Amino acid sequence: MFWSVLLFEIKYRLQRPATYIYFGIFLLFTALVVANGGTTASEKVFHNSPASIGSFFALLGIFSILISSAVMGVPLFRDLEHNTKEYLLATPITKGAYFWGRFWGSLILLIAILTGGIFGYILGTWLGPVFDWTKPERYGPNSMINYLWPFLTILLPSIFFTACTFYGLVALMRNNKVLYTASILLFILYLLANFLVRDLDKRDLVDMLDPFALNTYSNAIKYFTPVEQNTRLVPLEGNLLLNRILWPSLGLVFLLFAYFRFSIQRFISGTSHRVRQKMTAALSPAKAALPVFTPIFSAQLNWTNLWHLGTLEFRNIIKDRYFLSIILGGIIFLFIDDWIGNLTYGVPNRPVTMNMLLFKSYNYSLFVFILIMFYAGETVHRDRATRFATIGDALPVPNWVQLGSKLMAVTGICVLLATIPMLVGITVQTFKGFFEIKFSNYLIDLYGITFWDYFQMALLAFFIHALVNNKFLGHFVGIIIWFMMFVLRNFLEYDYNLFFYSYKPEYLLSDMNGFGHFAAPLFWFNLYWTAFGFILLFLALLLWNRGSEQRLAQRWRAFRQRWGLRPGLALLAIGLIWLGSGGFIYYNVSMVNRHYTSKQMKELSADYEKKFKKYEELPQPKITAVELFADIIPAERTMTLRAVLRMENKTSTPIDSLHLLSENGQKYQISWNGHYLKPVYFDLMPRPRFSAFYPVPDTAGYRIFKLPATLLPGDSAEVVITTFRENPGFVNSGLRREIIHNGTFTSGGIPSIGYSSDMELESDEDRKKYKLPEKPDDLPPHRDPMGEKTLLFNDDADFVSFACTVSTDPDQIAVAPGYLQKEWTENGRRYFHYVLDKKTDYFFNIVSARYTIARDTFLTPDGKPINLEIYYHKDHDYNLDRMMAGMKDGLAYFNTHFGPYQFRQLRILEFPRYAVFAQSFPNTVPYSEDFGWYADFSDPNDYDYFYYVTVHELAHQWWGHQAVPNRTRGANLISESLAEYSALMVAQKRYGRDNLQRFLKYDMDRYLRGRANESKKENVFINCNRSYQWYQKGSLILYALQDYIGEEKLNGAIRGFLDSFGLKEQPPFPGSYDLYGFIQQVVPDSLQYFLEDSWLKIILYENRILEASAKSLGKDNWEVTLQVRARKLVADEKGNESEAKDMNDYIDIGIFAEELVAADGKKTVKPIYLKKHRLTNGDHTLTFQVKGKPIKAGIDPYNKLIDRIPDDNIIVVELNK
Amino acid sequence: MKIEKLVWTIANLFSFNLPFVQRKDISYRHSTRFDNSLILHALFDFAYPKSMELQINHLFKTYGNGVHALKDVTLTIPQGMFGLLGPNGAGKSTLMRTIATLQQADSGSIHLGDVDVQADPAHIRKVLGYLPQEFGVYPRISAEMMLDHIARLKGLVHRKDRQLVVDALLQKVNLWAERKRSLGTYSGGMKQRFGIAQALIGNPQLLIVDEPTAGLDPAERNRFYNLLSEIGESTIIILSTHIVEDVKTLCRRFAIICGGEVMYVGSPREAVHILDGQVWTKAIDKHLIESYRANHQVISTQLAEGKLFIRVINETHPGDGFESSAPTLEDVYFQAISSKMDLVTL
Repeated sequence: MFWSVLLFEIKYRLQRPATYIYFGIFLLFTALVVANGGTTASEKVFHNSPASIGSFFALLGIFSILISSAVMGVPLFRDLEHNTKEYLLATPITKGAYFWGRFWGSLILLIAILTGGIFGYILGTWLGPVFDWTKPERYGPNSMINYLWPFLTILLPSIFFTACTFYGLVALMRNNKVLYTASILLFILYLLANFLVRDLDKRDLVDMLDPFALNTYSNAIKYFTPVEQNTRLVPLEGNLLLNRILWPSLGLVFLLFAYFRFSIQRFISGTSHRVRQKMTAALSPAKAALPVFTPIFSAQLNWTNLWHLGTLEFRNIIKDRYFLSIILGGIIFLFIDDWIGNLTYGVPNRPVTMNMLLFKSYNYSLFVFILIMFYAGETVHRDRATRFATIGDALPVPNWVQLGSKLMAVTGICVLLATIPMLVGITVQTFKGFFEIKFSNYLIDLYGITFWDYFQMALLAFFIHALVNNKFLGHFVGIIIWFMMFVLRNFLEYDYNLFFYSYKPEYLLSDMNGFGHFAAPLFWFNLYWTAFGFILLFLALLLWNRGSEQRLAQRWRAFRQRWGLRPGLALLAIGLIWLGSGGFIYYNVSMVNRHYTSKQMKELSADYEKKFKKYEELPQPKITAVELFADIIPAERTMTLRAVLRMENKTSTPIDSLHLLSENGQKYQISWNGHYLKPVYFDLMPRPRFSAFYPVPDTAGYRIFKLPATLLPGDSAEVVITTFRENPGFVNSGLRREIIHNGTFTSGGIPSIGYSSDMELESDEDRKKYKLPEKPDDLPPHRDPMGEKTLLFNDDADFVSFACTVSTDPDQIAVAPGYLQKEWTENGRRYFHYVLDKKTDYFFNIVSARYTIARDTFLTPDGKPINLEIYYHKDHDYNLDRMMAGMKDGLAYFNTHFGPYQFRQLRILEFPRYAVFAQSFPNTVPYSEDFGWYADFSDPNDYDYFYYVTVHELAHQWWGHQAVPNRTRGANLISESLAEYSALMVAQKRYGRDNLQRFLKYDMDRYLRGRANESKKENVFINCNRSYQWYQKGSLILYALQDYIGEEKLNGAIRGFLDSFGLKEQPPFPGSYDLYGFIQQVVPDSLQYFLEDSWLKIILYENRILEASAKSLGKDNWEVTLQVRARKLVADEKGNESEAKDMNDYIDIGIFAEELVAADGKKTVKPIYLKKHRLTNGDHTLTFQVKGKPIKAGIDPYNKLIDRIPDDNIIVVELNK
Repeated sequence: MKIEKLVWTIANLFSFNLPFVQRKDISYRHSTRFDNSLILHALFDFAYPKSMELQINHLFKTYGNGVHALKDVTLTIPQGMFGLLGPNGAGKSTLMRTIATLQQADSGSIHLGDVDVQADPAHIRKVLGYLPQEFGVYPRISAEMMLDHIARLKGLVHRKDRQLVVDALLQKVNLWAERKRSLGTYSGGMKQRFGIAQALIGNPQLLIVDEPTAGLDPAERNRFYNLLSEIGESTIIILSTHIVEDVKTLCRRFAIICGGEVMYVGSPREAVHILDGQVWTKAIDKHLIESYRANHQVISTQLAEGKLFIRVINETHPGDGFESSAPTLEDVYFQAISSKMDLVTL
C-alpha cells in the first residue's frame, strides 16, 4: 500500500510540467550564476572549489523554501482542492500509507529537483569559459565528491527540514496559504541570524538559529585561506554538525506530531469546527409585497461605491489572518532592528530618529514587498477566487470603480506599511527613554519618500495581476521582474535608474544635513515612476478582466471597445507627465552630469594605465608652499578654490612640462609665473552610456602643460590653479557628499602632479580582461632610493608651508588646518584665515558647517597650554566628555612616551554620515557623524570606541604627521599600526586590560577573515600592503610585543625611532625597516624569534586547552592540572600552511578567579596565575598550586598570539573535592 | 392554410422573427399540422407590439477549446417568464451569461428595447437581476450585510430603503432566521436562496435566473415559483432549466436549445399540440431496442415493472403493437433534441 501510494505520487508528479520547470529553473539559475562567476569565491579561489560549492548549496537551501513549499504543499492539499473526498474515503487506504507514501514520494521528487543545482553547477563551469563570461582558470577540476558532500551535508538537511515543516503544516491546518506565513517565518530566522552575525559574542546563537546553516557555514569557513577553500572539503563538525542535526530533527518531530494528529477522514471532509451561530429567533415581520424603490444612478453613486468597496476591500485584507501574521513578522523584525541597531564593536547607538528610519530598508522591506505583491494579487483576484464575480461583474459598477476600489485598499495598505516604521520607531525611542523624536523626519521620509516606493510597487503588481490573470502566475511574474532587475543591476552592472522600475538614487538622512541634496532627485524620480505606474494602471483598467471570459483575444477586444477619446486624453496627460519628468531626469543625469557604467569605468582605468603609465617615473616639480583661497556657497553647493602654490624642481634634471591629474575630469585654470598654461588634451573619456545629447566630453583628467621656460634643478615657480567645483542638478547614483548644504568636507580640488597608480585597475581578473599585467600591489622595495625620497601619502610634495583663507555662509564655521588668524564678515559672507606656523606634509582639508563648539585646555608637563576644541552638530553632545578625555589622555601619554605635540591646538570636527571614518589632518580631525557621536556607552563593559578612535586620530599627529612614512613596502605601518598601538595603550590605561579584550577579539577576527579573503597574496607584516595587516595584525602583534618585552622598552624603541625621523623635512624618509631596526635593538635574544615571527613571517598558532581540573588543598589553596595542546604553523603568501619546526615558544598559561562585578556593573576577571611558559609542539600537562578558587583556565587566554581558532583557548576548571 | 403560408413567407423574406416561425424547427417540418388558433395568436402579437422586449439576433459563440456554444441563435423574448430548456452543455448558460454582460458573443447582437447590450453593458447592468448557475460569496460576511452591500451597488442609496428591501427579500426567500449567519456556513440550498434574493434587488426589468431551483427542496421550489409569479408581467424573466416540469408550470413561452442551436420556440401549450396523434408507445424486451431504433424514431425509453417502454414518433400508426399516447411537453423536448444527441440511455 505504502509503495503503491509512493510510486503513484512520483509517477503523477513526473507527468506534471511543473516538476520539469522547477528542475529547469534550478539548473539554469545555477548554471548562469556559476558561468558568470557569481559565486562567493574571491579571486584566488576557484568558482567550483569545495568551499564555494558549499556556500552556494547553503544559499540554495533558502531558495528551496519556494520549491519545497510548492512541492510539499500540494500532495495532501490536492485532495481538498479537487474535492476528491467522495471517492477517496471509499477506498481502503490506510492513514500511514496515505500520509507517508505521499510524503516520501514528494520528498524524493523534491530532492531530484534540487539535484538540478549540481548539474547546473557543473554545466556552469563549462559554459563560463565557452562563452568567455569567466576565464577558464577560475574553475578548478570538477570532482563529484565536491558536489555530493555539500549537497548531502548542507543542502539535504535543509530540504528535509522544510519538507517536514510544510507537509506537516498542510496536514494540520488543511490549508496551503499557511505555507506563505511559514516560509516567511523561516526566512526570518535566517535574517535574524544574519543580523546578529556581526556581534562576535553571539556566534553560537547565530550558528544554531539559522535553519539553512548559511551563517553557520560561513562561520565555519571564515578563516579558510584561498588554498584551503580550494582543497578542503568542509568538515561536518562542531556547530555546523549540531545545526545540521538540530533542524532536520525538529522537522521530523513536528512531522510526527502532525502524523499523530492526522486523520484522513477529518482532513478530507473538514471538521465541523464552525460552530453554528445562534439563530436569531426574532419574529419575522409580516409578510408583505416586495417594496419598490427606484435605483438612483448618478455620478456620485460611483464615488460613494468606490469608497464603500474600497473600505470593504481594505477590511478584507487587514482581517486576513495571514496578512496579520506577515505584518506582525515585519513589525517584530523592525522592532528588533530598531532596538538593537547597528552595533560598532558590540556597542549600540542611541535610538536617534534618523536610525529608526534606516532599518525600514533592511529586512522590513522584504515583508513590505511580500505584502504588497501578494495582497495586490489577492484583491485583484478576490471576486474570481470566491466566485462572487459571476454576481459582482453583472452589477452596475463601472470597471474603474472595481479597479479603483481595489487600488484604494492596497494604497491604504501602503500607507499602513509606511506608518509602521514611525510607530515602531517611536515605541522603541519611548521604551529606551529617548525623547528627542524628530517627527518631521518621520513624516517626510515615510510619506514623502517611502510611501511612494510602496505605491509604485502596488501599481506594478496591479498591472501584472490584471494582465496575467492568474494569481500564482502573477506572483511569479512579479517576483521574476524584481529579480531580473536585481540581477541586471548587480551582476551585469547596469544601474541606470531611469530604466529600472521604481529605482531611484540612494539617499541617507543625516542629522547634520537633513534630507539635503537628495530631496530633489527623489521627488523627480518618484514623479517619473508614479506616472509610469499610472500608465500601467491605466492599461490594467483597459484590460480589466470582467465577466467569465479570460482569453487574451477577448480581453483585447474589450480593450479596443474601452479605448476612446477620454481614455486617450487621460493617457496622454499621464504620459506627458511621465515623459516630462523622465526628460528632466535625463537632462540632469546624462546631460548636466555624466553617467558611466561600471564597465566603462573599468575601461577608463585600463586606458588610463595603458596611455600614461609611461610617465610614472617622469621627473616633476614638488610643491613647497601652499596658500588657498576658498569660497564655499553651501546653498548652491559650489566652491571656488584658488591655490597659490610654489613648485620647485628638486630633481637633478630640467623639467619642461607639467603633468597634472584632476579628479573626474574637473576643469581648472593654471598659470605659471603669471603665464596662462594651455594643456595638451587626451581624448580618453569614452562617450558616456545613454548620452545621445551630451556634448562630446572634453578630455581625460590627465593633462600635460608645456612650461613657458624649462624649470632647472633647484629653480622654483609660482603656480596658481583655480577650480570651480559645482554639483549641478543631480546624478544617477552616488552620494556626492563633499560640498553640501551643511557639513562640507573636502580635501580635493587641486589636481595632483604626475601619474598616480591609485587609478589603475586593481583586480587581476579585470586586468587580464583588459590585457594588463598582474598587479602585485607592492610599493618599491625597502631602501629603494626613489621610494625613500618620496612620501607615502603624497608624492606631490615633501613638507610644505600652509595658509588658507576660506569663506562661507555667515551661520557656518569654516575650518582648515592651521591656527585661526583672523575672522571677519564681508559682503554677507564669513571669512576665516588660517596659517600653520610649522611646515607639514601636503595634506589639507576644508570643512564648513553650522557648528556648536566645546572647548577645553590641556597643559603639557612643561606648562604649555593646548587648546582642545570639538566642533559638533548641536544635538550630538552625548559623548563629548569621552572625546575630550581621549584627547587629554592621549596628549598626556604621547607627550610622556614619544615626544611633544607639534601644535598648540587640536580640533575635532563632525561631518555628515555619508561616509564613516575619521581622518587626521594637521591639528584638525574630521570625524564622521556615524562613528559614535550618539553611541550609548552606558554599559561600562562596552568598548569605548569613541574614545579609542579619538586617541587613534590624535596619535596620527605623531604617526603620520611627525614621522611621515616613505613610499616603500610596508611603510604604512608607521602610520596606522603605531597609531593603533598608541591608542590601545592609552585605552588600556583608562579602561583596564579586560575592556580591551573585545576590541582585540574583533581585530583577530578581521585579520583572519582578511587573509582568508585575500585576492592576491598575503604579505608579511614588515611589507604590509593591506588594511587588515596594518590595522588589525599591527595592533595584535604590537600589543603582544609590548606584553612580551614590556611597554616601557617598546615605547623607548619607538621614541628612538621618532627622534631620528620626526618632522624630518628632507629625505630619506622612514620606512617599516627603520622602525624594525629600532625595535630589534630592545628585544632580548630569547624573544627575537617572536619579533621575527610576527614581522617577517606569517605565523599562526593552534593553541587549545584540552582539560583543566583542580583539587582543593585546603585553606583556599588549590592544585590545578591543565592539559594543553600547542601548535604553531607557518603560512606562505598563498595560504599554504605547514607545521613550524622547532617550536619552543613562550605562551601564556592563565588561571582565573571568579568574575567580579563592580557597583557600576563593570566586570573584571582577576588572574590567579598568569605566566609565560616555554612550550614545544604537542600536548603538555601542567600542574600548579594556586591561591584562590580557580574558575577558568587556558592557554594564551588573552589571545595575544594569532590563533586560528581563538575560541578554544579557555575552559571551565573542573573542581574535584 | 394560405394565411399560415403567407405569414411564414413574409417572415422569412424580411427576417422577421415571429415566435413560432423558425427556419430549422419542428414546426416547419410539421407545418401541415398547425392549427389556426396559433396563427391568430401570432397575428395578435403582431398587431400589438410589446412595450419592451429582448431581441437576440444571430448570436454566434465559439470557445477557445473549439466548442461551438452558440450557433446563430435568434430569439425574441417578451416580458413575462421565458424558459430556456435544454440538456447539459446545450449553451443555455452561455446564452444567459452573454445577456448578463459577463461575456461577449463572437457575432450577432442583443438588444433590450433600443439598447445594444454588447455595446453598452453598463446600461443593462442597471436594470439587470442575475442569478448565475455557479457563484460564490464572501464567506465571512452575513447574508444581511452582503445583500445590503449589493443593494448599495445596485443604486439603492438610502440606507432605510435598503433595509426595507433586504428585510423583505430575506423573508421572501425564507432566510430571515439565518440572516445574521456568515455566508460561509450556509448549506447549498440556503446559498441558492441567497442568490435568488440578491438577483431580485432593485426591481430588475430583466431577470436572468440560471438553474434557479437546483438544490432546492420541493417546498422551497414552490416558494420560489410563487415569488417569481409575484414579480409580475412587466419584467422580462429568463429562466433556464433542464426540468421540463418547470417550464410547463411557469413559462408563457419557452425555447429548446441543444448543441448551441435553438430547436424550438413557442408556448408549452402549443408545443404539445404539434405532436398530436404522432406519439406511440410500446413495452418491449430490452435486448430488442436496437432493432426498434433502426426502424423507428425512438425519442425516449422508460423502465417500468421490469419492462422497457419506448416512445416513438410517427405521423401514422407504426403498427407492430404500438399504442397511441397523448403527447407531453417532454415528448416535444426529446423530439427537438433527438437530432442532436442520443437519447437512449441504455
